[in-house]
Amino acid sequence: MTSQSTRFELRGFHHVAMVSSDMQNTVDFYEGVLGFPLVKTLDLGGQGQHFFFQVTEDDGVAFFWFKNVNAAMPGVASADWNAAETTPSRAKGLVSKAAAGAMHHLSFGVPGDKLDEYRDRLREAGIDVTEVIEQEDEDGECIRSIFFRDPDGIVLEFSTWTELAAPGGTDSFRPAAASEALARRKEGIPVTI
Amino acid sequence: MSDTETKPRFEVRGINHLALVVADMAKTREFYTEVLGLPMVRARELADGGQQAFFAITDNTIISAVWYPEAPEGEAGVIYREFSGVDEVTGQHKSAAPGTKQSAAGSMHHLAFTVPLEKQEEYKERLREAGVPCTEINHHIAYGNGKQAYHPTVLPNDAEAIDEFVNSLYFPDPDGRTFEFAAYTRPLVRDDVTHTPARAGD
Repeated sequence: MTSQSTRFELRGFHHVAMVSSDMQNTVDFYEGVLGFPLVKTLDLGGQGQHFFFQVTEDDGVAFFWFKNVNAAMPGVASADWNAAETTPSRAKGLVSKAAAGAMHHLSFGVPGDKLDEYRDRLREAGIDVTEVIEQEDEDGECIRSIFFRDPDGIVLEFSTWTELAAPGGTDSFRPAAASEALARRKEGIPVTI
Repeated sequence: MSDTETKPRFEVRGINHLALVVADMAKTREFYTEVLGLPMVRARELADGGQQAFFAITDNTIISAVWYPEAPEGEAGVIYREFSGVDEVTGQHKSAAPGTKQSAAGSMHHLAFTVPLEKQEEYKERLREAGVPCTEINHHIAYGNGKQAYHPTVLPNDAEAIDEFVNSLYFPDPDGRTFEFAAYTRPLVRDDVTHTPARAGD
């Protein structure tokens, strides 16, 4: 894993920590279906649990379970898988917004030639999965994916880049400030990849 | 670790990307490129007037930051665990007040990057020099037979009951989320998995 940072040797995501409503369901899914080994469990003073799953040597996912937890808020605290039901897109969840500060979705990298096989394998495990979706923008096709959900509705993806860096570079991109929101608002459905 | 060897496997090569919703793309780009030193490899305009930008973490992993001109309202405790500041006495991440709800089910609570263990002191200083409030190194300990998570400011006397496994620095991103630089202090072993997973309603 080659770090891309000029300032810190970042080797990946040690853990993306998410929140589960039922840790047994989470273990059954991440270890049982996706095959990520459960490597560490912690008790949080009787008020909760914190479990770690290994994805690769440098990447992992972790889950908290709290006795006193706010209920899931799809479309606010995460993407809303069901938002796609009212739109013509096959890209379920990607047409949903979420609040600033939220994780929208989480994507795992897989070999591009395995996407069809993995879609079938997830379906055999009883998981609702999209067809293979190709996303492109003005710089051309960039990512091929399938999307599915974890037991708490978190939108997950298996994906492969076809072209990560924009061929034309990013020099013309002018990032918007929050204060420009009103002036920039347009009618349109944003697709978040 | 339970017996998963015979179950269907996927050749997962890592976390490809994490899509995070941000409040201000200009501040986001400054944070990722200038504070964290990451290249912005792709950026695009969205149909609602919003924007999306990709920052490369490794050759296999990016953060996809998305900004919407009009986004649902949310708050800390529902959409993320807020970075609550550095405790002036202990230098550690301030605990949430008792009874404070953390992030909602189905949300991201916080995000940890993998860094070399021996670089954590240096990275703490570098973040602080960039104006980012950063904790001292937190020594996460699984304590006693119950393997309870424990963050002592003074180490307990029964040293053999103490089992340190990960060291962490905590700091906020521009939206106030909790970010972490983490490193395992030892290899994890079978005995690290000791708890029965809780059920909803437990």
